[in-house]
Amino acid sequence: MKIDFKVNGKDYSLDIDPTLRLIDILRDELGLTGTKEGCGEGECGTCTVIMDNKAVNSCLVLASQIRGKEILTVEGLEKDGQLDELQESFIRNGAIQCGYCTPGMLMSAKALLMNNPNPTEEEIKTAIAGNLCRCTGYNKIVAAIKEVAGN
Amino acid sequence: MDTKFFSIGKSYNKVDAIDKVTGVAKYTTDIYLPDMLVGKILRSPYAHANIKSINKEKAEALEGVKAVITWQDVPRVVYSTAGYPKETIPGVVPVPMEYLEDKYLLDNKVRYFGEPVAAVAAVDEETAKKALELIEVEYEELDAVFDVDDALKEDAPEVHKGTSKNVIRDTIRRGDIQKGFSEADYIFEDSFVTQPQQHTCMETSTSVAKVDPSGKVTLWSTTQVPYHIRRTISEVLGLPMSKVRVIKPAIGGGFGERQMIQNELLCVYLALKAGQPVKLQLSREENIAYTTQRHASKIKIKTGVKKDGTITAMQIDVKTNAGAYTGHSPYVTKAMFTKIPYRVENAEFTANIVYTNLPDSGAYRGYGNPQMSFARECHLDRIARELGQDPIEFRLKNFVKVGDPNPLNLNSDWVLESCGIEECLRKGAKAIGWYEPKEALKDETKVRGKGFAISMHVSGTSAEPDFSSAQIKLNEDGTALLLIGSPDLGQGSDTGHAQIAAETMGIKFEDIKVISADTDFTSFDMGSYASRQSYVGGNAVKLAAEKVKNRIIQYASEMTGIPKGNLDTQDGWVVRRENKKKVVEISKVAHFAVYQSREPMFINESASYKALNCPPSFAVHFVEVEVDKETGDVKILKYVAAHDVGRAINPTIVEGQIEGSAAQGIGYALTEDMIYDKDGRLLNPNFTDYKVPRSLDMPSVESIIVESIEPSGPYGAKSVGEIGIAPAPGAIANAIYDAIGIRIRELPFTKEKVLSEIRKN
Repeated sequence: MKIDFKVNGKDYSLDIDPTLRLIDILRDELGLTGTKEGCGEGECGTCTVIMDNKAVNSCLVLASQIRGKEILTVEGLEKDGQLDELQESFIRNGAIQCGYCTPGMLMSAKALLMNNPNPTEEEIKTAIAGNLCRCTGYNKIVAAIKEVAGN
Repeated sequence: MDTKFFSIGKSYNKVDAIDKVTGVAKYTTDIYLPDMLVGKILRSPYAHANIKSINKEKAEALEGVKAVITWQDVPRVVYSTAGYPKETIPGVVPVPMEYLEDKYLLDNKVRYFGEPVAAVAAVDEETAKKALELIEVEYEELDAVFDVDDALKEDAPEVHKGTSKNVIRDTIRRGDIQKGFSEADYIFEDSFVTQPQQHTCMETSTSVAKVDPSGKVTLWSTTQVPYHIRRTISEVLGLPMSKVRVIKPAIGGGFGERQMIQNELLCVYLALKAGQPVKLQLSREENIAYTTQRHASKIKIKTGVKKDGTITAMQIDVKTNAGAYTGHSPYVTKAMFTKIPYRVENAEFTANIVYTNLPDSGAYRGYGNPQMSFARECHLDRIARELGQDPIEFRLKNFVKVGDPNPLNLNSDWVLESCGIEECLRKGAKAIGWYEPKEALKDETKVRGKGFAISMHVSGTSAEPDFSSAQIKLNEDGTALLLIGSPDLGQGSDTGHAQIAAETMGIKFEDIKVISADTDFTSFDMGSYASRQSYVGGNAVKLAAEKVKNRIIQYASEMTGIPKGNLDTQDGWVVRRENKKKVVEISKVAHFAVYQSREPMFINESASYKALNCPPSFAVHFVEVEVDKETGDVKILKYVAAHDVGRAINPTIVEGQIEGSAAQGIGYALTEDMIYDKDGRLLNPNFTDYKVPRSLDMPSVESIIVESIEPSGPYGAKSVGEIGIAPAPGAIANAIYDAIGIRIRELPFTKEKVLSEIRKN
């Protein structure tokens, strides 16, 4: 089945199995391995990407659902060699340990700020409540998002 | 005297951070090789069974299947899932080698539900799954046992041949326990129960293996112990180490799970059989249900105290649930005894390491310490309160002090040289408002309470000769490459090691590149466990860096004619030792050494460090909770964690370790548990039912860093990675007691349990 969609500003037109999951399309077809898989059941948020300005678990989205959609992955955050301010803030605040949850965390945070540029701490915590992190205890991740939200 | 440092004590950004925020960092799961096959494991549907027959013909005949292996195919060589070298493993609770080495790659018997029975490699996932269904296995089901007390019964099924009543028992004694109790005015006794805990690393356990036509094996794995994996592959599969390369790429978590031998050997064996690369990646369900877990335990503590609060004797009896294989159990169980931070002249510790038909318990951050810290700190809180003493002063009265011989109870004559616990307690108490009076709440359904718990942990293994090595190459432009076998699991050891190297050589931090955990290129290291990276690894890095510095000074002296004794290095420069006046840039010296010296040299130094002791770090966590008497909900209002880390090489990284370990401790205390049905099948192998703390569950953690400057540590550093999980459950338990007046002696404190305790009382 031919499906047209956009990833990180680039147009794609692929002939693919409509039952493929978005995460498999990103990783296996497009080589965008920045998006990680943590559980395959939509419980951990590790595979979060942004689809039409909303954070989604890419393990729960099927190929047929991405027709005409615009998808943003962690690889699309950097613009012209310049890191996104969320990426900078995550680094500066020590919000990264093993880093496996980081792409999903960044995308949930990005989606939040796209829709609500001045979130409260509670809104930040709620926005990433679906993203599990086993390393950091979330404190530094929340601080990193807060720092950007203030701007 | 505080020296001025250039790199130490600075919160530099982590060296791997840019790769990780851009998605560039390659994890084992991100490795895709041409012709790579999918590996899958067939697992036992019984907790205890003999395999009477196994037929793989139909599976092998399926198109796309490239290898099927059963116990009949693999080398019949026993090994220990703990991965420790043979020479050192019997060191702890003496256990006969036949128990330590009790695991075959695949066996004709299964001892837990989900144990691997066979493995396949096929062209895709679907074919691999079909192949598993086509393997015909005839089982003879045996009686199984899951609880330690059941396993100790006379008629319990035998999990391992030769272990009388499934138990390895050993007693460690210090002083005279009877004399200690006879000197006591009061004797207190308590019993505690702790549950298993799963690591739930965010990247599931994964291996990728490829075999070159020359026979060279390359393995990428989510491992904490590349060298132990290489040695075990070599021993079990009979390959020389020169033909085995183990690489730990970026890794999505470790926490002890990956200190074990995981599925690396199966993956390599499949690749050898198939003649094609194989990726063997566990599903989340497999990773939660069938990999190693924290030991469930039952702990009895009996303590004798004088009226003034002096402890005269402590007797501890522990039963740990080892699961089906020995693995780390003797070490973990012994470690419960060696991390008691109190002066107890008369002590007796009895370890009962009990086999059951559950996946083998193993290493998990804290390594026995969280269980014992929970039990001991609840017990001591009770004693202090019943004696009418302030729990802080009671602890301090009995606490180990600088100059005390051997508080870790090792076979060693070292003395404690640094201890910042009093500063931790004073600062922590102030931050939580320990001495402030309780305020009555308007909402009468809720009550508040405060509690704390203390832990001591090692900086390096205390059970085997601990050893690290490091290599540093000085490029001819004055930048440097640090090669170290110690894997960075995300905790930041690459960054900390770079800071130690930079400070010691006098090179700028930004000019150092670190490559770690590749057995063909980096220097030998035991691995990333036992909170050993900063202290043991850091000391090796410092020694190698000192050698490089000496070379820099040697060539600078040749360049400038200034005697070596008058030169030093700092911040990218060779300077006059006495006044730090700049003499020549290190970049120019490095260039000179290669291209212009009378005796040209590429400066490339290595050093080894053997840890003679593993000086303990200390921590106290203070918690304020609010308990809802109608729902049993325990809400953490405030969390203060004060840690004596010796020296914080990188304060932001240290805070990250404290906050992250507190989070795992909070999960362990409140929600995490592994629930098995009567057949030994895990009922909650997913993130909906196995409850890891989420952002909304986590309080803000106030970290207090205390620097006691350990004389034997690199720039005074000790450890921080593991200790922070240990005080959490005891602190929360004591705070719950302070709030509701009930001591709950069984983890975790779920709403149901707290409510049921409130209703009982």
